[in-house]
Amino acid sequence: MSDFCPQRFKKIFPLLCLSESEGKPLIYFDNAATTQKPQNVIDATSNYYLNCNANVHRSSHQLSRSATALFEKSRVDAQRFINASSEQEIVWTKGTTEAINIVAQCYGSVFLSKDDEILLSHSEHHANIVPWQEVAKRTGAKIRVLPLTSDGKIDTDNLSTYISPKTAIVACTLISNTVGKVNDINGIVKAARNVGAKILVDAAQAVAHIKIDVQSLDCDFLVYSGHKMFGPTGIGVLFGKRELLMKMPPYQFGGEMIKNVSFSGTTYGELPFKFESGTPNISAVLGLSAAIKFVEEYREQFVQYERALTEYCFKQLNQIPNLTLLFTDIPDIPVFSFIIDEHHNQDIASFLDTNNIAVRAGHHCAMPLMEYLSLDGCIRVSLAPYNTRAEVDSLINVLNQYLTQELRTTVDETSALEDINHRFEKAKGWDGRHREIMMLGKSLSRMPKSLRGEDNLIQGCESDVWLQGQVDGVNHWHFQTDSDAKVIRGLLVIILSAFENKSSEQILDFDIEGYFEQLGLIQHLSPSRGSGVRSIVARIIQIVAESES
Amino acid sequence: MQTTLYQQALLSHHQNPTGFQHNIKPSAESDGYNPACGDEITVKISTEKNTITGISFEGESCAICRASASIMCQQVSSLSDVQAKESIALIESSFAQKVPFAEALSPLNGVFDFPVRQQCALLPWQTLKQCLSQFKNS
Repeated sequence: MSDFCPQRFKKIFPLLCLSESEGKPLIYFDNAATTQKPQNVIDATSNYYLNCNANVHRSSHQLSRSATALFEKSRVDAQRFINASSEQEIVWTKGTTEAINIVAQCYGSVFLSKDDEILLSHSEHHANIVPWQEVAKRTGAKIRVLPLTSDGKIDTDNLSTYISPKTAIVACTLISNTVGKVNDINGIVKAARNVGAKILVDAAQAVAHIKIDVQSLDCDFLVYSGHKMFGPTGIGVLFGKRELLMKMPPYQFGGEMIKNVSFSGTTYGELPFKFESGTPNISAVLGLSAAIKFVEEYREQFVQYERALTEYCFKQLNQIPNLTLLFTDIPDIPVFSFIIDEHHNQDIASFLDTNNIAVRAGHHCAMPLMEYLSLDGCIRVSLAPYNTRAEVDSLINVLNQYLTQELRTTVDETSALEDINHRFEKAKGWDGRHREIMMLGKSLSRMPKSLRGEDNLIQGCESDVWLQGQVDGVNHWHFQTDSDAKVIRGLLVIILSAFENKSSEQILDFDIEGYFEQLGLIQHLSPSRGSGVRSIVARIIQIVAESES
Repeated sequence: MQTTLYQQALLSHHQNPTGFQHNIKPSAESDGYNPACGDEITVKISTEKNTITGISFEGESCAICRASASIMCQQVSSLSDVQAKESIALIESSFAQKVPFAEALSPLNGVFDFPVRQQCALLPWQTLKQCLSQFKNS
């Protein structure tokens, strides 16, 4: 909906507000790894410990009853969220990884045999590969891998080559954490059904972005985590069709999952409890329930905004020279994976981090995908609805800055100062020095017209002077400055010789008056030029001091 | 202010690395890979009577890995294999116990605050360790 306001939405996330109030606004572009948490989720988890901390399904006292009621109500929320037909089909897990492990261990290792095939895709997360490798090792089943199209989706054109009566289970991601595109799961389900194979859908990356309906998908298992959809870490959901969960053995053994324990024999609990041994992560379950309500409340509002933001970011990233997105076409969710020629991913990510932009560099737990693409890794920028166009602009600016300066380093820290000292010593009298100032002015490159505006104009100079400062990856300052007056341009070069490519500490500690005295500068300038020079210095000190405070 | 990862001295090593693609006649070589960062490095050494007489490295790696390799080439050249192993052990234990480095190794101090990047700094040294063990076996 067009009235969605990302700034207002952002205010629901305390961590993002805190970084802003501390004057160091965080640009969080690592949402595919985990999203930030809104206030209602934080409240729900802490409320459990504050007001209803008791074990569930155990004691008959009031506190335990109210904790159990909230806990089981959360299961109904999770059931509604993916439109499962029964709450018995909702199993709480530690997260997506554990959910897949339950299916691999309790279905795969039990029901597969050496003639069977497990079908995965090249874009799977390690969590949807490694458990199946273990099943293959134990049962002798064979793993086959679906290829991808050039835009990164699972290639469903030649499914018949991969899906045969030997196929026992197909485990695929709905949206890959690196590709960001919705796979044709319906097509895969249809092909799998024709041969009687079971289907597991990894929805970890999808749940925060698209509505999921397990009945219309007609999948056998679907898994997701809370923390990628604004919920707490350490909680996830395994959806499984009732008849399959019924015939699977328990995952772990102990308390909570039993009906009756005796040394003469133990019977296991009903669904879903037979898969939930031990005291569960109750506060996280309540937090996940809050996250589900949060997504249900906002998703329709932010979906259109998220689309526009995806289009904007896609367009802007494409304008960066030498930046190559891993896949053609715009992604369906705001996940962008790319490399920049001749620049190491981790160095770029660290530079962005220095500028308060959090992105991920590496293999994104998808090493087989990197291998498939013949890459060592990539940079991933993943956005959420609290991100803004202005934040995308900042990313683009910092990337451009990185590419033009590439870890810019001091050529020779003292040379600029020494050079000017040397010139002034050699020059005869004030006339000679004045000539030097005019010569120096010619060496100052012009500031782009767009930057010569009110924002960068220095007050207190009789001529117009513009100045802008930025810190680089090694926390050194770089100034862009300009004036229409030639003499001022020369004076700017002298001033910058003391401050350019220096740290804040060096700038604030530098004895600029002593430097001017050494050059014999101020006494020869007119009072108004002298105060203009001091205004420029004051502005630099102000910019640096403000960034430090 | 935040500790700077890319300290000036580290960047100087990155930009003008010692031992990068040096042409030596290697008596042992090893490959190292750091999947977390994507660093790939090959370390080669030439030796005479248990002493490193030449060292060279190459490969695609990040600034931290490359600078660390450059420092390593300066440090271990002309050391005996035992001394080189001691240097490696010192680097490993300093990172493990967060003991700041002195003098020539000090450019690596910026890495302490970035645990994920420590592997980048360690990779050349661990690769040299493999190299030395090969050399001993041969």
